[in-house]
Amino acid sequence: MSPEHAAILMLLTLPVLAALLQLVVPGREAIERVALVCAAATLVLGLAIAVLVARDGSQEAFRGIIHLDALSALMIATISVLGFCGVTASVPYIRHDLEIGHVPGGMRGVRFYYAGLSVFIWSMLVTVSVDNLGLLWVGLEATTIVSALLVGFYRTRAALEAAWKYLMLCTVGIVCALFGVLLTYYAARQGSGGHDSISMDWTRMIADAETLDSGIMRLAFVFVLVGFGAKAGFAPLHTWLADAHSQAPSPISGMLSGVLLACALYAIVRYQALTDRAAGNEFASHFLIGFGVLSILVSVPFILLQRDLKRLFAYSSVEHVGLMAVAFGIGGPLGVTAGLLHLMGHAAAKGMVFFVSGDLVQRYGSRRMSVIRGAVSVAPLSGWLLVAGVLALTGAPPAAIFISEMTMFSAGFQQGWTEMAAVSIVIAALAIIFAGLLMQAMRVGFGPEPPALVAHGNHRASPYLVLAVAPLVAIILLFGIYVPGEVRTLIDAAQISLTAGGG
Amino acid sequence: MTVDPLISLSTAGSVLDAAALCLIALAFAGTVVRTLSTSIALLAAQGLVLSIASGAAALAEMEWRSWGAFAVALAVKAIFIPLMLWRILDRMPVRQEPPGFLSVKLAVPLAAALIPISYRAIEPFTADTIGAFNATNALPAALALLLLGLFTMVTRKKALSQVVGLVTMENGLYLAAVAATRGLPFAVEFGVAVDVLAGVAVMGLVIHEIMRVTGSTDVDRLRTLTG
Repeated sequence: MSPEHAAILMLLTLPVLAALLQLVVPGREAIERVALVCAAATLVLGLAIAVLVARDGSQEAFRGIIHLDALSALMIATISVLGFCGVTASVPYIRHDLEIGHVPGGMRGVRFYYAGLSVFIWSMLVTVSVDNLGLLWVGLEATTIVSALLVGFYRTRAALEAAWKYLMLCTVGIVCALFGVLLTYYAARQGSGGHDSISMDWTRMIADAETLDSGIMRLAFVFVLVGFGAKAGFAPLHTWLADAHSQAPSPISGMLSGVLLACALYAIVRYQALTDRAAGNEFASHFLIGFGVLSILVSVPFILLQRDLKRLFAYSSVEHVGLMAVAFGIGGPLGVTAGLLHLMGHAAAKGMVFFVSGDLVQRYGSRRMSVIRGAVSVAPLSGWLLVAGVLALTGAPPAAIFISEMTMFSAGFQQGWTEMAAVSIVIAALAIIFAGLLMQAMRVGFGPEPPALVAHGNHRASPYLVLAVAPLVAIILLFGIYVPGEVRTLIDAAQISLTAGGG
Repeated sequence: MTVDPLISLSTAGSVLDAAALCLIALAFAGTVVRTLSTSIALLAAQGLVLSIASGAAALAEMEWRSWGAFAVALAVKAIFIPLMLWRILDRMPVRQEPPGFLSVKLAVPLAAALIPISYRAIEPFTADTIGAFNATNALPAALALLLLGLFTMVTRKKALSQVVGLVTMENGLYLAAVAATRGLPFAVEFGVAVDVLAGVAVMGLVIHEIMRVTGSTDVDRLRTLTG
């Protein structure tokens, strides 16, 4: 076995092994150690594989079942970075909850949490690594099942309600998507003249996507978009999102918002590329822009009037998924580049704000923003990072999202009237969201702090939390100023494979 | 190695056709009955009919892939899922579906109307979409199952009935996969079945916890999270 194969094999098996180990090792510290070591190893492997793909091109393993192109490599890198940060942020978070007796089942709950988180990361890595479109569906459905268990982790009435809504809406959605997968398979079968051994591999299908029946492929895309779109959080199918993201333990919320939504969008983008080739560029593009603009508009009132800190960030996720949908919808080299940059910038910024808001929610004992005031004096690190994270999310320079939004706007203005109109609406909505989010963040950061917390509280941040947010801060700032060579190569390659030949 | 098929494609097509009609009837009955144990029994019957359909397809195709799909359908849809739902029901205090969001007088004709709608919607496609088996009822039945399942999900209050609706929807897709595309690749078929099974297991777990915390499994009581 070549070292490349070995690395891919390890990346895709390590989290499962870690989950099994976490179920048996004795004591909380041992469980944490396994989780941290596995997350660090996954991080190193994920980044190494991304660099490998950037230098040597696509990698195949397991007789082509695993096919890592540039787009997969970008997703793997994003997932493994956020996975590492999520696991690290979990250590102080779960310790605190265990201490105050909020973990249901005590130590058993802790085991369950870390094992669940490992399997959750694994399911996302598999989803973005498989080439077969059917297996992509299987992976995405697996992420829903695993993460629903983590959403309902606290087993309170509200958490169970959130988990149930999440399961129902996303499963109905994904059943619709399965119909889209079937139709795509059928379109390929028709295109090949009823040949029996039809491949469902994306790399094969994209090569002769022009032969796909255009009518069936359009229908397939609509089902896939609505189905996976429910999971990506497109309005009007977003109603589960704020519940799930606010009820989940905060490190999980960061993973759900930062990378799981992106995984659903990743699936949609793969189908978009097929549909573009089979049925022309406009069809999929207009649907994506429509859902994107609607999601951004729907999120505005919920952000302005929000009282719950985590729900605020959840609705901000609806907004950002909408932005990515608009970027991919505009398409072309510039649009796709903007979408991919935004995906990574958002993952880092959203992960960071959820991880630090977990710290704040635990210190104040509430998620209500009327209670969480004066965070910069109660917990200086979390408070300042929350304000900075909100600035990054609103697209203030020099954060990464500033660059991706500017790229998206210029992409939109280069295209037709529809794209220009969409971008104009988006800019207006973003201005309002900017004001709303900033106002909320200022109150949380600098409002009058509760005297008891200032006098008796421990103001120092856990070293684990520092370790969890440091890479994210670095990414947000770095990508805003200079995108590293390998990432640039991967974005260019992904952009070419998605758009080339589409006309 | 090639084995001569035991039945012809057209015989398998007739079996599929009959199975499709049976499935429509079973799914429609599922929207009418109010006793939870009966709706689970009807779901098990759906699973059995589906496995007969995919068994017929396997006899006609004689590929190991089709036999695998048949085995998976039989195990998951006819045995494991009904058993799992049965176990959840066993622990429930109330086993009767309370009056839904729609009155029976309104719900039954609405559900019945979904069947001709499915036939009309599929009409433009049937000309070339029926696939090798030439089973004209299969695709309309697939759509009907999808719609009837969704109908069950939105009109019922018991969490368990919603799971039944969801599995009905998935059964519709399975039928479409067998009839129109002659089945998905086995790895995909297997993965989908495992996902559905795991999904139902997790839903069962959540239902169990909801019951423990709220003392009921009526989902209309789950309305605390808004804004």
